[in-house]
Amino acid sequence: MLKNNTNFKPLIISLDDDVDFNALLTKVLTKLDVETLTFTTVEPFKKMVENKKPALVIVDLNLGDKFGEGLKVIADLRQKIGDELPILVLTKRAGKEDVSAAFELGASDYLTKPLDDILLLAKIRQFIKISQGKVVQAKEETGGLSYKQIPSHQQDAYFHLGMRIQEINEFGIKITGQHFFSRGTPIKIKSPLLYDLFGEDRHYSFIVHQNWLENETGKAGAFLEFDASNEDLMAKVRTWLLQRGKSELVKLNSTAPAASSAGQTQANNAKPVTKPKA
Amino acid sequence: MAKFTIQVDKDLSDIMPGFLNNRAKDIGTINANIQSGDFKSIEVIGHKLAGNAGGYGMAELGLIGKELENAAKNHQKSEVEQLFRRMKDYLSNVEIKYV
Amino acid sequence: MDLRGRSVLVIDDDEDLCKLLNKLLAGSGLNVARAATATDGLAMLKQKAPHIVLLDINLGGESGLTFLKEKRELPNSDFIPVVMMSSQTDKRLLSLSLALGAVDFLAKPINSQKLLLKIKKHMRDGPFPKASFAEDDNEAVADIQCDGKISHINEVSCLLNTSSKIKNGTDLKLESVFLNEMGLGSISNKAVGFGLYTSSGHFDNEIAFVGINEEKAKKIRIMKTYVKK
Repeated sequence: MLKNNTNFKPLIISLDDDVDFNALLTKVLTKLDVETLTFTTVEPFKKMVENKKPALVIVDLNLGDKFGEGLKVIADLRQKIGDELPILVLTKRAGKEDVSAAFELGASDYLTKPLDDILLLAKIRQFIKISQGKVVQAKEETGGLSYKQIPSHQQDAYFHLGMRIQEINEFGIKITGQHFFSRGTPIKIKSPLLYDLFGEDRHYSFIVHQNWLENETGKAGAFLEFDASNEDLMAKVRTWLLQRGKSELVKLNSTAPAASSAGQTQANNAKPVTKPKA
Repeated sequence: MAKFTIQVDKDLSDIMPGFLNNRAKDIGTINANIQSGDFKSIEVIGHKLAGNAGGYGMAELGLIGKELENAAKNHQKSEVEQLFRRMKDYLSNVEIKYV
Repeated sequence: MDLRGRSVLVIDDDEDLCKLLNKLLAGSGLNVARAATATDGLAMLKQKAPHIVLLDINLGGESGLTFLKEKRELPNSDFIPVVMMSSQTDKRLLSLSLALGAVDFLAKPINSQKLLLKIKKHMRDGPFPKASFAEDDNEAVADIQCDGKISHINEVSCLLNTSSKIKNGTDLKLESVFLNEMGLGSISNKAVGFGLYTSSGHFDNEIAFVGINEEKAKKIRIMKTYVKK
């Protein structure tokens, strides 16, 4: 450990194949008291990270031409270095890259390009706290207080998070909100809508089948799939949707727009006939 | 009339007895209806026969049923009696081979 | 097209026809429900929407038409097609049925190939209506019950390991036996910072204790650590 605080700087290593971006990043990071190393190719980047043990790394998800290159880097880093290293990923603002996949492989947070330097600096500060010349991660440093470990048999905890149901279709439920739920994990959800649909005012269990993050707004979403092998459930959903749902979709075999839920129309393959008296 | 064999899909083997049983009941009903002059009921039986027999592999019986329906509709007593005899003959002489 | 798991509602009052249809349909994996009257048929339709309806044109007189008339009145009923089963002599009824919304017909005696073909043709393969809810729709509010593990604690916060990455600044209420024992059961919580990824699908979220007092903080301070971190 160095004696002199001011000579010690945390190291940030970044990977982006865009040299102009790397120059910009380096410039922005001079505002922090950090040392920055930028790389344009994967192997040298990885080697440096393993050797130097930086305080934080930044990885561009859109590396080169190959899809998923950036994701692979994240996965490899997590495997080699472990969970302690903060990994920030860079994504295009309007890009379709799977930020959620990045999270599940181990990214800690994300930023969109073009770079918002204030946001970048704030996020980096969040993950690196510097105290007495020693670089510590945010979680270890809360006003000088260290964490004590709780015995494993006493760790269980429960809590509630709020989300919204955006849509229910015959395959499942789409929820949106501020929180990101991992794929493959079970979720228990309660809502007036589900009470109406299933008949009981309680939490219902589903597995998160898909998840996503909107790059622009940071809003998270998840898709909870219905158990298709449960025929009673599927029939219940279909029936409920018929009563509730809007016929927004054009019928397959006709050229006319779908009937409104309140009105009546004849099937278009029938010849027009005056309505028989009731 | 001599006995004759028809080939029927083996999948139908478990529901065939029920079908034949109902036809036996039909025969009893038609008999009574001819006595009482209830052509409407005979028409209904003929109609059902026309619709179902073919599905159970008895196309010819279905045709008899159709003619029976027509005859009953037109109140043609002797036609009805003749078709009734053909229906009874068919059902007593048919042998089913499941394939 | 795979018919397995799809359902068909057969409405007919003829036992022989019913048995035959069951035979023909069951082999394809379809779930067959049956009603013997128009009234029963409508009740079953409302309760468990099938993918398609097979309706005998002759349900004791005009009842087939009654079913069609009443079905038309139901919301979104266009999404369930009705195929009539009719004999040669029912031409008048057939025309009326088609006018009232039936999409097709099958001639009796029923041919099994034609039956399955028509079902596949008309079965609603496409999207069913979906229900969308606006941002301000109170009915669409969802409460997610989550579980996690509180692995670490200090005087101002704790680390909650769970399968969600909780948004910075979210107000929470953690329930845990441990927190209760420490006298922190009544304290409200707030997520701070950004959930850090720990292992497949799990995140370490820092949860701050809002308004903790000296007495309670002391309890944490004097807590023995059981395992070396």
